[in-house]
Amino acid sequence: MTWYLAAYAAFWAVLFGYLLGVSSRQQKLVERAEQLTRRLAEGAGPAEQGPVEGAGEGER
Amino acid sequence: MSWWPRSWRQFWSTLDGRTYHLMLSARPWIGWLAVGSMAVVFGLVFWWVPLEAVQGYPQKIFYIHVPSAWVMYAAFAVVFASSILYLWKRTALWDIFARCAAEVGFLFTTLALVTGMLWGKPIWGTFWAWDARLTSTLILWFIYGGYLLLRAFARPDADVARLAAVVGIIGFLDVPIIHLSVLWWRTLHPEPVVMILDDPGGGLPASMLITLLASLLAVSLVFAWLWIQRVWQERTAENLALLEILLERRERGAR
Repeated sequence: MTWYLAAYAAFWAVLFGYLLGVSSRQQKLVERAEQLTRRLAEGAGPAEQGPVEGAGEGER
Repeated sequence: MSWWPRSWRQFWSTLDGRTYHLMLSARPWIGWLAVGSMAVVFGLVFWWVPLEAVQGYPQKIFYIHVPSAWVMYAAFAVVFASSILYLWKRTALWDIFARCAAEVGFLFTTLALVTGMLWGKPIWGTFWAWDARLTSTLILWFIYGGYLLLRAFARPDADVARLAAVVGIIGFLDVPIIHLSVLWWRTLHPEPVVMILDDPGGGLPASMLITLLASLLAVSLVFAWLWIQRVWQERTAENLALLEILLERRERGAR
């Protein structure tokens, strides 16, 4: 029983560890996209402003 | 017929774009299906499937160990096919497909090795034996570990992508060796038990087979979701890097 529970615990621990890594990369990407969107908006006139392609897409 | 591609180059780039957009639109569905099917699998494993008479509880590790190994095969098949397509067409998307499949495949190889070791201890009396299947799986783990180190530390340019594609293709040759090792050599691993074609009454009992197939589906969906998510992240990171270069140029021009 111990080995069976240990195997399932290890399976979930490794999978969640990886998911946390994916989620943290996602967070960094969103922050970078927001920062670039701000820079784009600062340098552009009103007619040039628009959303950054791909930014926030992962939130869907 | 304006939608019809006018050249092979246009055909492939249309196909690349469509494949990518199809993957993105399927991503939320795959994610929810993965969560739902994983919940069903754990219900089946913990409460429904009967205990195996000889091994008892440790045999239940089978329902995560075998699907992890199956996804490992599938992931490296994606690396193999994407690497060939990258070498043929030289479009960045195929390189991203290969890179992300290698990363998720490496994760599932680790899971197959770890769950296998935790199953081996109570049944074989040891975590590790230099058995043909274990050794060839460990070699695969090192091959794709090397592939990922190459991608992580080398400058991301076309030469590195080409070299990685060659490693991805050659590395895949280990997959059929792993699969057939139980037939080619005497190993601690049993010969195929899931379906025995020349013995219709042989193989797994129905309840175990249903649980295994449900688990194969659930773990495959988890793989598909993780792979698509990583492809999206890599593609977006490349787009953002390009945008940053354009912004820097514009800001330099404005000064």
